[in-house]
Amino acid sequence: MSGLVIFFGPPENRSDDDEAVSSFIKEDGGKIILGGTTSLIFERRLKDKTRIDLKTSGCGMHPYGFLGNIIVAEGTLTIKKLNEIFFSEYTANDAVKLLKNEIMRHDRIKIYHGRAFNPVNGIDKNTVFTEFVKCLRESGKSPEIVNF
Amino acid sequence: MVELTVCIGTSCHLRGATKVIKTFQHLITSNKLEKNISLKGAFCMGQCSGKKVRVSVNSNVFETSPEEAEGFFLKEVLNTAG
Ligand code: FES
Repeated sequence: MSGLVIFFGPPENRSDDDEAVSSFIKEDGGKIILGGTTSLIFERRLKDKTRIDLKTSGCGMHPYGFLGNIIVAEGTLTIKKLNEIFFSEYTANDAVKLLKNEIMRHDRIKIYHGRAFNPVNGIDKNTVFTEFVKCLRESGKSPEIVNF
Repeated sequence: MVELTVCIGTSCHLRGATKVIKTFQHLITSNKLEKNISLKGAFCMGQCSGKKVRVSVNSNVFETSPEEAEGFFLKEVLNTAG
């Protein structure tokens, strides 16, 4: 069975960063990191930088990049958009489409759900996440969720 | 080569990062600066609390908005690009 592991949002306690990151890295299967702050945590641990090619993936509203061979995208707005289009056609060639394709082509989905949120942007990340899990279940997936 | 990076993390995205990128892309092409300026993205520059979009020119961090992006480019980016 093929698996996809998604890391969404930074751990609630910074002291859990190391454990969450190393456990995620050790997972088998495709990997996606969602969230700017989250990507910075990984960049520090992996001593590498996320590469975003604005010519190919950044011209739309939801760009993506790569940290090594891990896909990286902005978190809350990308998932919010994915929830909106989950059961319909979506043609933009961006992170939302990529994420949807990756979810659809994997049988097993595991989510590392970091519960910290950025108060600056005012978005209700929890509601967005709950809605995302609901979409996954309605599409027949049984995501395994690990909360940090 | 000047490295011009626009933050497209959640906070900066909501403040118009995509429009800032479009403006920079347009200015780079219309001034034929593709060989002098490399336009990049970042998912967070760790300074989300400003009011505008975070942008870095080489390693210096600034902030700009969709309305100010052209003026910012002429002042900060073209100067650095020489
Ligand atoms: S989202 Fe732009 S600095 Fe954090």
